[in-house]
Amino acid sequence: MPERVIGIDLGTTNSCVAVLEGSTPTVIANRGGYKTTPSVVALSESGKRLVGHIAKRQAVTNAENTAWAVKRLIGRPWTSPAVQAVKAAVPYPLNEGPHGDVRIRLRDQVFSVPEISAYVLQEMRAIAEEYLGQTVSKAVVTVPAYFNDGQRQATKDAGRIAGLDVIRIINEPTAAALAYGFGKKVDGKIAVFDLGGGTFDVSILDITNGVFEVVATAGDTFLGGEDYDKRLVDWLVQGFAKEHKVDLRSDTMALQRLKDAAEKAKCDLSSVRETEINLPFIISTGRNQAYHLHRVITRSKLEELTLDLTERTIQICRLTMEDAGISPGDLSEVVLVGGMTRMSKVQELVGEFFGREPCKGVHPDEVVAMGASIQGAALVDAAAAPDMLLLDVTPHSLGIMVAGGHFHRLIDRNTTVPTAKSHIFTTVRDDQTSVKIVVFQGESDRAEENELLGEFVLSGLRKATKGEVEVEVTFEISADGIVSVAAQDMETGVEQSITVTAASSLTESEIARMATENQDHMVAARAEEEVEKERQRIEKLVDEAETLLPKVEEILAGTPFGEDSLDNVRLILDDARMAVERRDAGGLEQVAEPLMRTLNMFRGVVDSGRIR
Amino acid sequence: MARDATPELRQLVQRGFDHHEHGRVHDALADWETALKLDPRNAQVRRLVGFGQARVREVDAGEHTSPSRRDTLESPIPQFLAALTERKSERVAVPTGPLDDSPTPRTFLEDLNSSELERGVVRAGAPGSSKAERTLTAEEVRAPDTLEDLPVNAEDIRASTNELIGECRAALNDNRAAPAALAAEMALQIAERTPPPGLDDLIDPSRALFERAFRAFMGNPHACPIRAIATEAIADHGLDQRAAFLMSRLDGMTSVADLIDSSGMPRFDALRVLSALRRAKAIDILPPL
Repeated sequence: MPERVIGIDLGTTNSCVAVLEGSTPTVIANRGGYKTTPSVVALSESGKRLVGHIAKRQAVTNAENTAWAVKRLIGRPWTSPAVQAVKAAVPYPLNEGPHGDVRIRLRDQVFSVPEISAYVLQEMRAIAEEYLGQTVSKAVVTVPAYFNDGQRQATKDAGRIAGLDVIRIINEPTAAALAYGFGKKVDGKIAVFDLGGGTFDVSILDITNGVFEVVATAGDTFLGGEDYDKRLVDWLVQGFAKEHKVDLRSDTMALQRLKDAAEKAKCDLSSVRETEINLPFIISTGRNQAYHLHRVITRSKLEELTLDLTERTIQICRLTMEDAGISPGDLSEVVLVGGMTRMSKVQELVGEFFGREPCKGVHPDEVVAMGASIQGAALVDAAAAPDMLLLDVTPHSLGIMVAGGHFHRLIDRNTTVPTAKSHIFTTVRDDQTSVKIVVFQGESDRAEENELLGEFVLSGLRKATKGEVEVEVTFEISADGIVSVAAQDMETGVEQSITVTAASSLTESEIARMATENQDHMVAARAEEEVEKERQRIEKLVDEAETLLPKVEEILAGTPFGEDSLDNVRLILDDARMAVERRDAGGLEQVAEPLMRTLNMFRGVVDSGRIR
Repeated sequence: MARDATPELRQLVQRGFDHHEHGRVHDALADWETALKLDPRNAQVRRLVGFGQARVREVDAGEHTSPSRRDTLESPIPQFLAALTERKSERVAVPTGPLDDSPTPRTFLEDLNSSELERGVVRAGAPGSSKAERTLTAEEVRAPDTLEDLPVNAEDIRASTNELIGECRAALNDNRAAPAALAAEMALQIAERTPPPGLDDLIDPSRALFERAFRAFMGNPHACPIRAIATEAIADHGLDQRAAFLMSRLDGMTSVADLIDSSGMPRFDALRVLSALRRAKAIDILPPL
């Protein structure tokens, strides 16, 4: 049987893991019974690593040591505007890393962004392993369609740090379409409207005979469910301030409760028309004065508070469609992805814009992970998903800088990958013996306005007049979206090439070290769990023995089994109790056997006492 | 909750919690039993049903009732403080000097037995006084925010605090976690109300001891607390917004250890607040999974 491959939707705010079981993609719930896990990592006061719900639940009260939405940072250079925008918006400190990348400081430890993502992937892996009852080492991970090569590579690095071989990176809308179209005949263009917790993306896919092609994609990395929550929190805070002249934002515990309650109310309002927000004892202003927050909010109020946010998503859809030259009438389906699409106002505006009822047949939180699991299964076992050929497109144009600082595109954006394109260039100066190949991605005709991916020099060219020596430049994009660029002297066959790695990625040795450290951390955590299990077992035995001791003393009083022996037994119990209290692994091991003997003896004495 | 927990199952579990914290233990059990029918292998729900059955037995036997909003304040701590301040008119001899140097004097805590402490009952009044046992009203016991304006001898305060530290240590050594945690809490509350130069020299070296006492009182760190009263009622039990915050974190699945880690409070403070909640019977503890 081929190895199980899990599909992971590594989201900005929530992540989800699925596996194909038979012919059904199954989303796996975490220990709390939830099928999505917050993509939040924190370090507690005691230095313990917290991941998922527990980290989210303390994100306000421990804001400086809680990393969230790191997906907005992954694979981006420190100098990028997106990083600076995140820096201004998050309470956890960001610093420039040794390779011009981003580093996150939590308490006194510094983490790379892929490390933080790795902890989330590790958690998803653990959830899957617990469910499957076996080790999982391979995964397909999804990323937004607009992710560039550096971001994709950094996501793969995160997988490696988590001990996962990320066998394929696929685009989120592609995964959603894959799950939507799995097991049924779907042809034509579909729109994937993905409004998640932190980001919004819209993509147009063309599905033809089992081939999935992303034709256009766009979005806003700072628009999602959290913005809706924030509006609700603002409304509550303002109402409270008006009533009590107290600013709840001044108290982190109050704010944490408000955020939790706002998110819950928002979710509730997807199914009911009004809901109650009741937060007793939200704040006190003195020993004798406690305030309670109690408000009722209606669905229409929430819609009113957030209408501009929803309208922004529609505006992005409009621009994307225009850009792709597609009209709503060309679409055969609109697939909703992301928890926010449960909001009826979102569904209503999407329906109005696209001129059709959006598809509600797929679970918006789970559909991307399901698609990833289908792709994962297909990669190791073609029979798992027959007739499925998955094609993605490159989200940005790729090319090189040519004379005059112009950008020469070799691969246009939205070209289906894998792909390869070549073009022959000539020298621009007389006696030019080398050429510098500077690789960019972007849409501007000015090279410097695009994103630099890498550069290399091809030297040893024959001295000749300009325009005489020809150099063939070839771009290749693999199915994973990894870009390779080669330049070849057409006369001599001499070639130079680069594989474009993340512009500000980690080195091999750093990734290896982080993977080892992560592994060590997991081993230590498991060992601690084992000690705790043993401690609980010993504690139960001690409790039982201590309960039996008075009876034993009574039964043995005046028998040859002297006080010395009982003293000895009491010492064993004392040692055991001490080992339990100290959580001392060695001590627990030492007392286990004599304690068991003592308990067996006690049980025997009490039983024989009963018989007599 | 189990892997395939459905929204319906989660709703039933949550509604059970709501019933439980409002004292409707039969309804809580009914909801959890229905949830178990939906997913008979769900260990979390099985645990809840076991807990619910035990609570129903206790309530039916009249052994255990959750304090309600209208209950009188039973926490001994404010009463102790009030009693301390009442010495202003009758200079009670409180031993001075370190506990180890003198014969153990009769203290407030000696008036109590551990079962009384477990129940949170205390006799108000200074040692040796003839005051009858009574429960003070919330207004009475909340009065002193500080001992500054009260004519209590600074040496008396130090001595009482020292005695409490000694009581805490002794109780811990005897595996009596409840009195140990109570003594720790009393010492801390006295210190918080003592005007400068304060009692830091006594309290700071004892923090590790107090933390042990609170930890012992909370028991297994992997056990999961659940609300035993509605959060609105905690004000009636002399608890503050930090207690309300921790109450809001309780979901029957988050363990004591995880609660402390995710509380956003210093570890010591979180343990202390949880201990106060347990003492006030504002929370029940589910065994670990």
